[in-house]
Amino acid sequence: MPYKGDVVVEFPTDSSLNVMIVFGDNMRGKTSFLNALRWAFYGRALGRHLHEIPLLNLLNREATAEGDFSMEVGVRFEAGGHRYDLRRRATKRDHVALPSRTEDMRVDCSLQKDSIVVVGNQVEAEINRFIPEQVSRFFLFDGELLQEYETLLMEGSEQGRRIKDAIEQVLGVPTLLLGRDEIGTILKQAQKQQTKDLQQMQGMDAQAEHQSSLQAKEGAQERDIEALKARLKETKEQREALDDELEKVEGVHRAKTRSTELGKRQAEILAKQEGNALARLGLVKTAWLDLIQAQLKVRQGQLLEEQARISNIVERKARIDTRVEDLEMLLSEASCPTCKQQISSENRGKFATQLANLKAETISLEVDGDALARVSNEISEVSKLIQAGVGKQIRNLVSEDRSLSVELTRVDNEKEKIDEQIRGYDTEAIASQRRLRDALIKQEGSVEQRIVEAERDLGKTRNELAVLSKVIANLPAARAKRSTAKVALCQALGKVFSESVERLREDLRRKVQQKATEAFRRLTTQEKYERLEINSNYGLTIIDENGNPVEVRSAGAEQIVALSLIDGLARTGRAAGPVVMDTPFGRLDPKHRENILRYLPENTSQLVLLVHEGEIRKETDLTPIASRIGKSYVIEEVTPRHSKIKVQPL
Amino acid sequence: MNDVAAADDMAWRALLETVKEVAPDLSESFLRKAYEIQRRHQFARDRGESLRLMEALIESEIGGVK
Amino acid sequence: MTTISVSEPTTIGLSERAHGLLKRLVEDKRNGQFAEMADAYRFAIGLALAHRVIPGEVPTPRTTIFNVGTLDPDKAIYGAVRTLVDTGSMSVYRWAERLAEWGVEELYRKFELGKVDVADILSEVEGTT
Repeated sequence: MPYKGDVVVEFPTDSSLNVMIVFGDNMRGKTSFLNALRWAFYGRALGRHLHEIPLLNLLNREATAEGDFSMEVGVRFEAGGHRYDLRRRATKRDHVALPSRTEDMRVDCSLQKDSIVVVGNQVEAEINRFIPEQVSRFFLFDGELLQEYETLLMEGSEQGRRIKDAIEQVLGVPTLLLGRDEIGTILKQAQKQQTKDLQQMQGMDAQAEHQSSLQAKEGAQERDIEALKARLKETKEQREALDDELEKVEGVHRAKTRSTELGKRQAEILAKQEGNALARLGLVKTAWLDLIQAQLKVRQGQLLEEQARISNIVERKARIDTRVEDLEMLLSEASCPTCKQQISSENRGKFATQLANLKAETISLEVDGDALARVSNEISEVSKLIQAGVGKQIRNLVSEDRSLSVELTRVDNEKEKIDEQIRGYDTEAIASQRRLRDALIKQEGSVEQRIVEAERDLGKTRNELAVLSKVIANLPAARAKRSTAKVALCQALGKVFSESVERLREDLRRKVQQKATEAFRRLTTQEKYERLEINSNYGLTIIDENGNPVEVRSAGAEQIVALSLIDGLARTGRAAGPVVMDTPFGRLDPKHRENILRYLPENTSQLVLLVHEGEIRKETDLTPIASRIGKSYVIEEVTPRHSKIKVQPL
Repeated sequence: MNDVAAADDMAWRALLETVKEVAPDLSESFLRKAYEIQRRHQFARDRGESLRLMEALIESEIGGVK
Repeated sequence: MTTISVSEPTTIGLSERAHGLLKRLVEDKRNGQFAEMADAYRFAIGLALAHRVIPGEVPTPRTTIFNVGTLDPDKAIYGAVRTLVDTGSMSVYRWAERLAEWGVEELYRKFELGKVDVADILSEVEGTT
């Protein structure tokens, strides 16, 4: 643990200010804080997959380097109207110089109730009255639990079975399960005694022999099952270790895929840029014309004006020529060519003047027939040179090229970073680990199957023993014997306990369903969701207002359902009490997070949230509970192996 | 009520309902005593004490049979 | 305009110095603006025309680079120069050659300052016309 020296944390005790927030970056000590509480109450700290962390691994590394191998956690709390002072202390044994195994350490636990010392063997029972260990995982609550519960919600998933075992432990209620087992132990002893008695009775040899052989068979089968369970445990542990390894490299696999995608994108960009470059070079061939478009248009304008001017002159001259012709004819004929009337001498004079003027004008109108043709040709030549222009296209290509270059830099950087991260990973080794893991899963399955078969066979044997017991009990000679009476009584009592277990499980499942639904309705943002329904694997289905199961659920919904289940289990297993949550908000959207933050303080006596800034921003996200925050702390790094907790007002 | 107690109550109810079906001749007071021993020791890791008490209870129930 | 019959040359080129500059402009991979020398040569002519330059003689020593038919297959250069300029007694292509000489020097000047960018030059010229 990263804590060293004295660390004192005060929990808020005002019921209206019952929330405590502890901020801490990852790997700084949030989970260790949770484990410190767990270790204080139950003498155990848990790591991944619920595996117990060895005691030596809990000691602070800096402290042990300085020769200090002691660790103590003390908790003062109130429960059931009493004040408790609990202390658990680990120290190295006197004769040990340098502890290297758990056995080199000794652990002492003391409990005072209202200042009166609680006797050693009652400490555990006293603690479990209020915070039973079986339920502890539901209120000393870490984010990994939430993920495991989410897998539970997938019917039949492998991880789901693992957490189902944890739940069964709670809902089985130790009273009945342990009772059943203890009665079974007493029964076996009674049956052995009965066999001995029968052996000494005349005429009961056969029954004695039969019972003895069945008992031997039962013993052998029990031992086989024990061995298989041990093997299963070992296989599971190996497989879980591999799962952890592969989880790490799952990231590698994903990174490699991403790197390949990025490589493709790089190639695409380069190809596109090459294409663009070629296109640009093609356009540049005629770009020189763009440079003179303006001038060409001006020239074109000038030429068109000239053309119009010349055309006007030609037209005017043609009109004048026609008029001259008419006047000449008029004057030579002396009569109007149209109406044939005689023209007076006065008019003749006018016409003659007109004629002279027009002829003079004709002379002044110089028409260069070639000029018009030349100008028209030139216009035609210039028009060929006037084009839409390639400048805009070139500029677009240049702009696109710039964007692609920016993207290429980004892609290059990202790929380089990823390649650096995955450098050194041996993909063949990973594949081989995968195969091994898959083989172990198969093996697990096969061993589990063998356990099921062995337990079935054991059940058959026990049934045979029960039947034989009944037969023996009815034999007058045996009936009188005490051992026979004892066997009969143990069998009856054992059967009652055994069959009560399933009945109780059903009742408790219903209760969990009801409490989980209550929590769910408060936490969900979806009004159409009516309730939760629990199945035999403790999987929960959301039922909508039409009574139909909701099939597809978002990650946020999964988390909410999981939290509802945990809350339901916690409240089935014990009264509303303190809840310590380690990073529960990882993947929740703001609305769901807000709902949880509103719900929890009202349904727990004290709520301790261990969070990092990535999931909760101090400034904004705590508004729903701001008025209930009684204490606020931050875990700060002193050195990489030493953290301290200090008050940090919000 | 403390919900552990409530859960324990549910356990007792389950026993009562089961005994009627499975072993109606079993005395209720005997069953209750057996249940109480288990309830008191439900969280004890060392089972020696509860096992001893269960055996003593069974022996006393058998009573005078030789 | 007076039509004077002037014989046009069949080849066209630059001074040896300008030829060297032209080569460098085109071969520079960083630049990559022109696929071949003819493209840059034409662009140089266009640039000179846009600036309404009255070009001086092409300095010696001079070198022939292109066949006119290869450089100007559709006679666009011919047409452009003839339209925009009064070449007097000089042949159109000789005038074009002088324009190219000026244009190449100008492009190289830009090249030495950083980069020759066709898109920028087009924008520049558009802005001033």
